[in-house]
Amino acid sequence: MAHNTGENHLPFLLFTGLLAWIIPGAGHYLIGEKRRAAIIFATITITFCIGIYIGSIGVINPVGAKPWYVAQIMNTPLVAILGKMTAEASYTVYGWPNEIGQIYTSIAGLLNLLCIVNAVYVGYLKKIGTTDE
Amino acid sequence: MSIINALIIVMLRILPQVTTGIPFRQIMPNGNPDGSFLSFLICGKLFSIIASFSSPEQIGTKPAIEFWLLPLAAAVAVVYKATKLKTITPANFIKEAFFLFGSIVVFIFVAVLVLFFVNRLILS
Repeated sequence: MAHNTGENHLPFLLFTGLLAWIIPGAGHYLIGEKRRAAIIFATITITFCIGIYIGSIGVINPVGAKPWYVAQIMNTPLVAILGKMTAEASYTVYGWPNEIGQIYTSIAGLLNLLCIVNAVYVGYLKKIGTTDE
Repeated sequence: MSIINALIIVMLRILPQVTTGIPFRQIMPNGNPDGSFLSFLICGKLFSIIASFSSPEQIGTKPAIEFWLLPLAAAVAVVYKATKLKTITPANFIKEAFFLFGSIVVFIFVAVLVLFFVNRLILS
């Protein structure tokens, strides 16, 4: 039986987490959970797109709505590009569309955070299992 | 009909119509000649959809806007079950996700009823 230490798997786990953040579901794809990856990718992408469709990309507001932005950027770092766009230009957003859009995009981000943690955890369990065998 | 086309129709046709009451033809008057994704692209509607992401939708203040919570509850149920199930088979996954979605909706409905009666008690 091989001796396991956390640092043996650290680069792989970090890479899994990073990949899961950059593309929703990619972390699960990397560890061989392809069905989960497809479900996660489709669900999070559609939820995020519905959010910015309802409220416009103006719901991503790194200046006036920082707490929401923190949750939104959990979708993917590419959200920062949209944040930069909305910070430089003014996109009209107000009332219910703004609130619904923010809720959708933020919940999508938090769901992706759950998936990132899950991908890293499952990846770790698989690594331990592989090493033990 | 492709899956992408079906998804776009559900996302962009049905939900806005239900919540705003504005017929889809008023948003895209020319329609989609043969219903294929290719004609969808050729007609330039994809570009108009992308452009629509730069301005908010007309939601209004009707009680029907509460139905926007349903896709969100479905997304939560699907992602949660995708991370929690040990093995994913289509039948098992759909069943589990549907039951979780159903319990979220029932909980919200019960919460709405309780708040409604509390409100009536206070007002009376």
